Amino acid sequence: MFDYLANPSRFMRIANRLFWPLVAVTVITGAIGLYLGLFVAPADYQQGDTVRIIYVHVPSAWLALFGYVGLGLCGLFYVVWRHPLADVAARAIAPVGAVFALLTLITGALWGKPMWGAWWVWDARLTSMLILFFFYLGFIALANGFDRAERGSRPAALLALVGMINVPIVKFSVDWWNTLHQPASLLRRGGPAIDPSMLTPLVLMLVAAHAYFAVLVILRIRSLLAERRITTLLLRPGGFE
Amino acid sequence: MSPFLAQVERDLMIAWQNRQDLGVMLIFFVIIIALFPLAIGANSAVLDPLGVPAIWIAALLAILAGFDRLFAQDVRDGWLDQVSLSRLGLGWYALAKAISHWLTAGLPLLIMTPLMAIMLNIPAIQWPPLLIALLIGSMGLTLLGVIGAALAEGARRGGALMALLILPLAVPLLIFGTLASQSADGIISPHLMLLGAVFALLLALAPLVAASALEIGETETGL
Amino acid sequence: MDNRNQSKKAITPANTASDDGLLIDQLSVLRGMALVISKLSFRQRAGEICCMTGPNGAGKSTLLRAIAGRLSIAEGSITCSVPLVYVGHNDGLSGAITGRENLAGWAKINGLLATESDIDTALAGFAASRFSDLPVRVLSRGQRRRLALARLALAPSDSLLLLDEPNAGLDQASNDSLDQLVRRHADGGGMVLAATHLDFAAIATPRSLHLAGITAGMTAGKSSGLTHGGIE
Repeated sequence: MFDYLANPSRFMRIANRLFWPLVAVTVITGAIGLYLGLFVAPADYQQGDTVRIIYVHVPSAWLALFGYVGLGLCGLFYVVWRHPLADVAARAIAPVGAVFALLTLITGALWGKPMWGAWWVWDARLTSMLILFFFYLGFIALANGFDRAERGSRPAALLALVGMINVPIVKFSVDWWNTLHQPASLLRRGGPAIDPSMLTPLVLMLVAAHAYFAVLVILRIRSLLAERRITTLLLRPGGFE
Repeated sequence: MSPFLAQVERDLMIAWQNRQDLGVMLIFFVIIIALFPLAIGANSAVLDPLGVPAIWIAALLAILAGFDRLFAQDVRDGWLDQVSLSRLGLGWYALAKAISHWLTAGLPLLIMTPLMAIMLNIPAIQWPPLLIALLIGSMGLTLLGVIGAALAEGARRGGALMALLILPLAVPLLIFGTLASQSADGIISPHLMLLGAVFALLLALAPLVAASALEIGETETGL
Repeated sequence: MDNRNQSKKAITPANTASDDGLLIDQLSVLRGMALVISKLSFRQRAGEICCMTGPNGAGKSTLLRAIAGRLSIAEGSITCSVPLVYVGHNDGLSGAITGRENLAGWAKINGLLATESDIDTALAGFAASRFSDLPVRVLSRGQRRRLALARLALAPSDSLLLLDEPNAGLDQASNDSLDQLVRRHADGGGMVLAATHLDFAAIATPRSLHLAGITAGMTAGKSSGLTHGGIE
């Protein structure tokens, strides 16, 4: 199946067919989810309306992790099977995942200020997300850090693989550190209790976020492939005529 | 002599020719440590708990400094091409580099540590867990540095890029290392076990990643 | 581009006597996005000396590095049944240690049993004994080149020597030494593939392989079995 998908033109045909439906899903589920989350779902008993930020915070965190796993898989496909599409996909995913990670951190801070009185707390999850954000930045910097653009593909793919193995270890070590140093945390394990009326908008926002992620990645893959095609054409003998 | 030992011997011979670099690194280590009391103040109540973390951070920075040039000279000399064609292979080469680097950086740091511990008022009873943890931690950091250097080899801002790649991944070593150093359970603590586990993982990972990263040498200058 | 990237370096044992040596089959190599070598096929057998000629940028160095396994291959395959020894533009020497130490280290990492006298002989072959105990960084370009070439004398007798502009910066005496070494190596059953501008090993009347840019053309020397590559 992966060979089927890995052929660039075949992938593009499938991606193009999915594109507008995905946009529709994003807009519809996002609109309904936001409406329900911001206006209909009840406020939290303790936190009041500030809890509504979880409708953005949780999907962002989820997608940041999802992107990181995707990056790792792309790295695996590139290093082991040398699929050129794996490199394009990884470069497409990285900035999107990074932005979701940043969004998680920002919404976390916005949530934390009214709750803890501080813009930033060294909470285990936020700290892990911060490190994940750095990891994304590292990937992007490495992939683009060479004078010849394609030279960065392999090191970046290897970094993604190393990250697959090591970032969970980092997360584990941060959790370990957190339980031992015991900073104040007002988040119960598992986060605030999810009332069913909060569940619907949350699920909708998760779906919207996934679809949005896919839309962005498809757009980026399209433009990256187009870039490569242009470069190849220009470099062909007689290509500059 | 085995190919592996020959490579270690070669690196040590080269390091011996450049032995003044060792002094520079040790001074770097001491200066970073000196910065802590300078920035925090001499108040013993505030400073003393920071002694062990200060040593760890200084060791981390001192070991990783200069790692971005780990492979650069060999690439430029054309030695990497020879290694990739040889019986030694790039994986063992990377491991040999790690060993020779640790012998010329990590080990001297470890020897300096008791002196630093005195400067930071760390009681002698704490030295054994600190030194054991630093022993394993410094080896782990060296392996991590090999990974970073191999990935960033040939990149533009090699040094800064390497730091960006390595420091997040160094967090477990730092966390488990500092906890193991200050452990009340004596030398063998769960923290030390975890530190050892991370080290073992890096030991397996570093040669594989470095070999894969260094495999393709597009041009002779490594660009 | 074909998704099935072949293994970048296939060093496989020979199956039959006729498969011995170097076999390049429909090789294409990309440099970045640009095609540098296109569908090149070539075969070299034990005892053959081959000179690559062609303008700068035609892909001579690229081909040598591809055979040496340092480049990834876009299409086709390279199979070689013998050990490879590569001397590129860089000398493969560390400036901090002596020529002798460099040579000995090189022999050791290749698992070659080279005694002190073997190394002495190799150095003497290029009149390099005189400066072999100085750190390489104080030596001139030509002296370093001679040290780099001296390692060829330690190469296994059946190996394929890949030489990239070996004569660059050499004086006449060293050129002659190189010619003799190349001839001796070929007579002993080894192979030599060299990219060179100069009149190399004219005595041995080698085959020649001409790379004229993206089109790879062959000027057939003495052997048959050479095919022509063209623009894809």
